[in-house]
Amino acid sequence: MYLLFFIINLFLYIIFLKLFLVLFGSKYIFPVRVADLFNLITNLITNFAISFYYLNFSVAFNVILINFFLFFIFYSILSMISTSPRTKILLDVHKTKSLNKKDYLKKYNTKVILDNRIKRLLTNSEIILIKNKKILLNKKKGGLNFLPFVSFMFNLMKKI
Amino acid sequence: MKTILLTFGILFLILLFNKIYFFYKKKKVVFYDYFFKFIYFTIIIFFIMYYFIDRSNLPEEYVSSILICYTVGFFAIFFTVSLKSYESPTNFIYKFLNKKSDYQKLLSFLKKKNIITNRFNDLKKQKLITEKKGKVSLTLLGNNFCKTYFILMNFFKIKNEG
Repeated sequence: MYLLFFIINLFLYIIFLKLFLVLFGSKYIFPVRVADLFNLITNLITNFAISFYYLNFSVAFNVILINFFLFFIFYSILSMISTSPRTKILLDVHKTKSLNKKDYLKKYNTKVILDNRIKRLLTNSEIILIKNKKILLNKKKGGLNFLPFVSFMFNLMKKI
Repeated sequence: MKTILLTFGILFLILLFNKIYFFYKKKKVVFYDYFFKFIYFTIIIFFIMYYFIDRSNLPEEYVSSILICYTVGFFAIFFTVSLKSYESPTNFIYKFLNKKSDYQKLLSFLKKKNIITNRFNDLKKQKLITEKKGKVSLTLLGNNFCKTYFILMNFFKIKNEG
């Protein structure tokens, strides 16, 4: 019975994620996509309610944890695809079948990696770019600064 | 309450495995090795639990849900593993910007970290690519990874920027 429920949960998770990605595109509330966040909330409410109604509280509690894990898994996979240098290298090798490393490093290098990250951090005003020469952490921005939070999370994950 | 504690106990086992694995491997992780060691660990743990834990009071649905929670929890931890070996470029940027703000200096700082060379070396270590005389090609495992990535990219319409 629960296995069937999990398959439906997973299916709903993927379908809602697709739907929210269509609606919000790749907008970020740094460090997560808006679509990821909406999807998590929708799935927590929907799946918790169904499991609590049809099964019991103990299972519903596990369902909450499972949906948080699914959130992290899908967030990691999609982030890996869009931002990870390793995935970029793999996919570029796949496109060319055999890749000349020296030529490749002229196209994809540290500058490209830095510029991509600056572009993403600018979308949520995490940093301020002054005439392409200076970059400042935006400490005065309204709301939360997520870059310190991300750095904290990276360090925490290293310790786990 | 008892079931909630049991859930956390089961999830703690994943963290325990992680600690034991990295105690011996010293942060040099090979993903398939990590994955198979986890399967061995799980078999041993469940064998012990099967004989020593009284499951008669636990509803069948709860047992199924905790098994899935354990599996999904493992995959969530699995995605944090690469962070143990390599620091994210975003984290390097944050650390630099806390002290300085010059773009060119940040670029030279990142160049010294050999981000791309380290990634190429890691992909070789993970047996996803091979390199011969400066030519890089995919292994069978790497090819399968790429096919999966392309399916996900097409379905979710995600662009690969790096």
